[in-house]
Amino acid sequence: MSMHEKTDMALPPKGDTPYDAPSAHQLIEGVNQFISEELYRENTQTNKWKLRIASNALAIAAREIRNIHEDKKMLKGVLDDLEVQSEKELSEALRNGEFDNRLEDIHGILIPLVQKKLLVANPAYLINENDS
Amino acid sequence: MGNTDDSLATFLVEALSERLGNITITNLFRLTGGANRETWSFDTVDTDENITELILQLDRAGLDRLIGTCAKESQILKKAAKWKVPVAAVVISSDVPNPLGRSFTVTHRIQGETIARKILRDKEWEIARSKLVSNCATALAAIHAIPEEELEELALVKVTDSLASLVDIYDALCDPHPTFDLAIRWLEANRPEPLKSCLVHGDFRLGNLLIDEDGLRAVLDWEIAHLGDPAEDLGWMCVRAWRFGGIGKVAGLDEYEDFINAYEKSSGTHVPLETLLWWEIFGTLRWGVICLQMGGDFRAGRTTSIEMASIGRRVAENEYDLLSALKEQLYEHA
Repeated sequence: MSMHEKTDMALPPKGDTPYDAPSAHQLIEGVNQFISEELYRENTQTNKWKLRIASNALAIAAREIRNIHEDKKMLKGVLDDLEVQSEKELSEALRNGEFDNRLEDIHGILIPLVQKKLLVANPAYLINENDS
Repeated sequence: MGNTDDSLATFLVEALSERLGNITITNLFRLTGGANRETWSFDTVDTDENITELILQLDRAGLDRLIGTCAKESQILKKAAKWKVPVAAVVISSDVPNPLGRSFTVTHRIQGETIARKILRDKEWEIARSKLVSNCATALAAIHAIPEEELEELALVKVTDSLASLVDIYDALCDPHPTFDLAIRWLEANRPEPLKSCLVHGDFRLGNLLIDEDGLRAVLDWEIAHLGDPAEDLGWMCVRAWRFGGIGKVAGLDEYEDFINAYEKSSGTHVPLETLLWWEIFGTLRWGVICLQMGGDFRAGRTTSIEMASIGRRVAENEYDLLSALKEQLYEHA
C-alpha cells in the first residue's frame, strides 16, 4: 500500500467525545435516510404515511442535537435579562400581570425564542408563512 | 387479513347481524389519520349478495379520557341528522362494556374526500372548493340552531367560560409556555360579548369535513361536541393549522368577510370581525394546549404512538401563530 493510499484512509475527525463514531447525530440521520428512502420505496401507502411521521420525528431529534447548546444559552440569556429563573417563573409573572405595562417588550423577546424552537421542530413553518 | 383483522371481522359479523342479517365482511382495512380514533373501512355482503359500505370508528385503546366518546358521538349524530345537518347515518353503536372493550360506532360510508391538502389543491375538487365555505356556514348555522331542549337527554358538557376551561387544562398539564400565558392575558382582557349558548361541534374544520365534487357531504368527528358559544366553531375553522397551507384565512379558502356574510345569511346572526378574531386566537391557543396534551400522553407512557409524540412538537407552531396574531393586536390596535 502506498503512502498516498494510506492518507486517503484517514477517517473524519470524531471530535471531543468519549464514544466511538458514528455519533448520535450521524446515527439518527442514517436511520432517517434508511426510513425515508429504502423502506419508503418498498412500502404500502398506509405504511408510507407512518414512515413519514417516523422520519420527521428523527429529523427533529437530529436538529435538536445540533442546536441545543446554542439555544439553551439563548434561553438562559433571555430569562436572565427578565430577571426570572425559569420559563415557569416567566409564565407565572405574565399571568399575574407583572409584565402588563410591557407586554409589547415581552412579545418581542418571545419571538426569537419561539423561532429557535421552530427551527428544530419544523423549519418549513417559518419559511412559508402560509404553510402548516 | 391478519389476526387482528380476523377477530375484528368476527366481532362485526356478530354486532351487525341484528341489523343486517347473515353477512360476511369484506375489504376490511384501517384508514390513516385520526390521532384519537381508529377508523376502519369495510363492506358487508348478505345472502342475496347485497353490498353495504360501512365505516367503523373505535376509541383509541389506552387513553382513559377518550372512553365512551364513539358511543356518545352516535347519539349526537342522530340529533344532527334530524335537524338537517349533513352527517353519516348511524347503523349501530355501543358503549363499553362490549366484547371489543372499547366504545364504537358503525356508520354508512359516504364517498368523497376528507384529506385537506387534496381538497385544497386537486383539480377534481375545484367546484367543491368554490362552495365549501358557504356550505360550511350553512351547516354550522344548522348545528347552532338545534334547540337546546332537544339535546337535554345527551347530557352534553355545558361550557360557560371556554377560556377558563382551557386554562384549567393547561394549568393541570404543569408545562408552562410563556407565549401561552401572554395569550391568556390578552384573551382575558379582550373578551367579546357571547353570541348565545347552543350546540357547538368543537372540531369543525378541514380534515373533519367529507366533500364530494359538489361540496360538503358530511360533518365528521363529533367527539368533543358540547354546549357553548357558536363563535367558537367559526374561529376554530380559521386557525392557521386548519388552513393546511391555503392562502385564505378561512379553511385556507376564503376571507373572513365571506365567512361572516355566509353565516349571517344562513343563521341570521351577525358575528363581528373582532369576535371572530378573538375566537381564532382562542382556537390557536386551544390547539396548542391539545398538542401539549397529546405529546404528554406519549411522555407519560399512555401511548406509544410516534404520531402523538410528534404532535407534542407542534406546540411551537401554535406559539408562533399566537405571537403573529398578538403582534397585530398589541401593536396595531394599541
